[in-house]
Amino acid sequence: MSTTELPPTERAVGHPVPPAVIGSAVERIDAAEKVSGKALYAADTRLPRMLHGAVVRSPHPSARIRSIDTSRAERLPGVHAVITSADTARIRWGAFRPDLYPLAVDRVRYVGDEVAAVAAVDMDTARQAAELIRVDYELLPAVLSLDEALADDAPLVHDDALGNLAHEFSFDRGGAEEWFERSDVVVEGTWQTARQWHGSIETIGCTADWSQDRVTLWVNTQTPFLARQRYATALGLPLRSVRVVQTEIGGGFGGKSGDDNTSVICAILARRTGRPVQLVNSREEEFLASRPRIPMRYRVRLGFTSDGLVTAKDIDVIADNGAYTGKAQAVLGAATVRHDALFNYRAVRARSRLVYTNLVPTGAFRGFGNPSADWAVGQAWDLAARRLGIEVPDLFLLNAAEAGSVSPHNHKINSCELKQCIRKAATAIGWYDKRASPKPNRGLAMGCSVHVSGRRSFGDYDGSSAIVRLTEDGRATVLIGEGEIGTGARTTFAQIAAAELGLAVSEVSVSRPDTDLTTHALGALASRVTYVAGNAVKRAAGQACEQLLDAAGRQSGISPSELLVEGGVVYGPSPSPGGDPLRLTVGEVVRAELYRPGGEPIVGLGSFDNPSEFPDGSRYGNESGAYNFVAEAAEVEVDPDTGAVTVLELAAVADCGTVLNPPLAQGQVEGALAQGLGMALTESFDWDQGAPTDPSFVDYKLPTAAFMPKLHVEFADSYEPTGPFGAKGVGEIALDPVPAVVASAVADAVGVRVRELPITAEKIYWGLRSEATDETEGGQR
Amino acid sequence: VTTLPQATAPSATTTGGEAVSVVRPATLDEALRLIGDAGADVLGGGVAHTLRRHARRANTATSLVSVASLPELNRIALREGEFTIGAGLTLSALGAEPRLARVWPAVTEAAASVATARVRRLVTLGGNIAAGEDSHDPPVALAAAGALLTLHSSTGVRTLPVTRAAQRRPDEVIVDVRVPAVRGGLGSAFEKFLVRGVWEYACVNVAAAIALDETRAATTLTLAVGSVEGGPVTVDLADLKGRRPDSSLIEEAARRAGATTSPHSDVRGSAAYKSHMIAEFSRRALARALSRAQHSPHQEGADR
Repeated sequence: MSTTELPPTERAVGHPVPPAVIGSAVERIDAAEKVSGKALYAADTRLPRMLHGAVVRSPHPSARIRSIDTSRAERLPGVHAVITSADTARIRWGAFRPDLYPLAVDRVRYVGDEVAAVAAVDMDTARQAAELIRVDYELLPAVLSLDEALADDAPLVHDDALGNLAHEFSFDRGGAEEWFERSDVVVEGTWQTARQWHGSIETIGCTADWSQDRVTLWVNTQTPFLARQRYATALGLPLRSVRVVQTEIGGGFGGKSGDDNTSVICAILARRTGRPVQLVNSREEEFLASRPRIPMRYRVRLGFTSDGLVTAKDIDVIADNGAYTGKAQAVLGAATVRHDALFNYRAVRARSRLVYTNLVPTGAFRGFGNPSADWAVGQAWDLAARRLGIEVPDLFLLNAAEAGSVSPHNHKINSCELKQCIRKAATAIGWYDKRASPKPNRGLAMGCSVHVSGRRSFGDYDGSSAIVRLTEDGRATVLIGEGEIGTGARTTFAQIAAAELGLAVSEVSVSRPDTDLTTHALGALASRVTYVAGNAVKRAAGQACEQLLDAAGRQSGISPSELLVEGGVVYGPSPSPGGDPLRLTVGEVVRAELYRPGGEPIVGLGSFDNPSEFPDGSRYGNESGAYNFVAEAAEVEVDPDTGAVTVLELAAVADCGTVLNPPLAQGQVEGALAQGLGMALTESFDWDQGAPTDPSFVDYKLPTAAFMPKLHVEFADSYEPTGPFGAKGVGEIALDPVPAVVASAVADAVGVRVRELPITAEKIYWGLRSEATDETEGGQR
Repeated sequence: VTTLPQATAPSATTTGGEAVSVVRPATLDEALRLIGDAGADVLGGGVAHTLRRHARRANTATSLVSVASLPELNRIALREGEFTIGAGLTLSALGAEPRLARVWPAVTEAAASVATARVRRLVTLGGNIAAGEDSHDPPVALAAAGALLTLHSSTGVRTLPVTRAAQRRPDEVIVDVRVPAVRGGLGSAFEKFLVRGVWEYACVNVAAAIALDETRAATTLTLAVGSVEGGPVTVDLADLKGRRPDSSLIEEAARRAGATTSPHSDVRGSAAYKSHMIAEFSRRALARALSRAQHSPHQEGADR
């Protein structure tokens, strides 16, 4: 057999035909351990002599700590340590704006702020001890809303943040005002989003153990290397003193990005007691002190020509940071610029402010600002379509970005099948048929969104690297620090490596992140893992494969260019004329390469840096090498007697390039739609004095299976030239437009435009009975 | 006697208080004697106790007397024009009780609508009533049915209307719940308004019952409203009885339900909105109850 007899690997139409394992429904490599209960999550870690921690949290939104009496807690049998800020390095830390102490120093700034902590023989004793700690507070005035925080003479959340401003930036690109003057139709409005919690099945947790001057943290973090950096800062330690090992993760969604104090406190307790300590958030703590989605108030103005071409967009965004910053300023950045890559705006102007309040700090959540932007801008587009008398899908098609588009922020769009997504979503929902035969109290709407596949955020690097080692028994091990948060990333890596190496997926294992053992990785954020890390794995596997073929070539005397690996076997022409074709197992080649004088292992190292630019302070710069897109359409029905909304059908068509694993991609889209529906309709709290009155799942209603509408999930036929086998990210995008699409469909159904999330029956009920009507809305009023 | 150890925390949310012993008496008399002891509390399906333990809420009970499997609490009997429903029956069993469903569909609908199937397999009828939560569904339907509670203690037996369940003394056990079983011309319906659709406390929950005589005049006309102050409460409709129910009667009854009850403002809605919803769902419950009453033949009595 000669390589010339092999099937061609290039397709005439352009992009390469991938190996069969790419695009196939490979079973998750962690499926069995998860369904059998063998997977070890953060709270499953068990170390000899391990203690359990509990945290004392502020019951007040703003207060001065006069004194802390820990004596009763210390006397409780079973208690090993009680710590306050006096036991910490008193260093402020944070991803972008260091403003958080490991334990509150002198002041508390929100209900849930960490004040003291306990380590004890078991969790009950620890919690009981925590309840025995008496903190004497002097109550201070608090700012419990954006308006209170921005009022003249408002009390300051942090003395060094005048006007309670944590961050602000603005830009005017293309001369927005001139374009508005030349516009025939201008729509505007103000919309507001609300805190949304990740609602992961597993709460945030850590187990810490010290050995001499080093601490190992077993954490369910999405970003082990970035978290290590921040934890080291918070602990006042050099980087080398902190090792982070990722446990199994029961849901991340941005909430386990290492911006909270749990791991830091856990490490301090372990150091004080000289024993391993485990600290896991209760569900109540998860609601009070994790980092939910940032509420944003968004004023939007959009200009159009009379024939429907968009001219300019002007936004003013105020975002509720809560008491500490974390990732919020980056989230606000995305919320301000990202969607400008969606349509061909001639000019964009923005002013964005991140405002401290005495409320639970906010941060990263699937969508990273885009759902808030879409909530406002998406609805403004819907209003514009009504004013222009153009069907929404048609208006989108007139203005949608395409391959080669460049946004006002220099976002360079490589692959882009947005128009295909819009057309397919309209078809899937039956847009034009439904428009032709409208039914009372039913409404239709469509929305689009754009997301990155990785973003340069933490310095001028958004890369990844991986090591692929071929073993003496013919298997491959992928060593990579990116990790698995439940999306199936490790399975995708195994598929990519298997495809590149000519091995079965079952012959590939993928490591978990360990900052001591794997190469540096930024982790699961910004829908980057498949695209950025997938490329690194592909290159590492490709290099290992080259080494394998070189070795087989040396061993057999056949040129490596004539060799091929398939199913774990190296094939080639016969080494001797008339002999049998070459057939060596991968294991045979690897062993023979080792077991010889001067033998060497076969190890490939691959790295890939996102071909993007580090945006400047005004967010100018091509933030990602690949952008993914979605178009979604919904049909809803409103009960006019109650205002209750039923989402009847929801269609989502995503452009994520090549779909590497259809069930995994489908799962990401379906999960994002569910989370988007929760954000739109059911997830909220009743608040009093700066905190939810019942921080539990009794009040906070996540969508259930029974709540879900009929879904139509499809993928655009798409190929990203810079992606691994043509793939782009897909983890977040489908959530982004959902709330806006539901709100616009409600407006279409009954003429009530909900401007503040969530879309409750009560808001619609009062809207239907209010005197004020918006004449641009449709519906059977 | 089983001793529940201090919770050995299978998850972060689980925390216990002091150790509690669970006692399983063999007879009702023994149970009543034990319940009279200081520190004892009645254990039905255990749901309320478990929730309290998890939430570390003050729980003064040091022993829990399990009553759900006592024979007196597990019967459902139809005699002398009355259903006697054992308080130890689970909501799952109650919701699937065919004889009761024929006469009081509101009650079986309410029982079958609670939380999830797993929760319904644990919760007992007596425990659900004794919890005293105004948002619970079965007491609303039972209030519309005019249910009476039979309370036993070591010192005697007494009867209370279900709407007075809060007057139960700590030493008393709800042994059974009685509802009239005269079926002719009777219709009832239960309605609740949910945001998510499953496993949540209702925004409003109401139940209606209407009995018609041969002239189609209402001999029974009741409307019970839950999730309100002091709930479930029955709406005073005495002056509307004797009339032939029609849309104007339903409208007036629903209006009163909204106007005379006091819902709480919470995550499920403002009090003002809930008052409108109480009226709306009262309308729906009354309309369904009326339809059922109109289709309920008079010749069928209870004593078959």
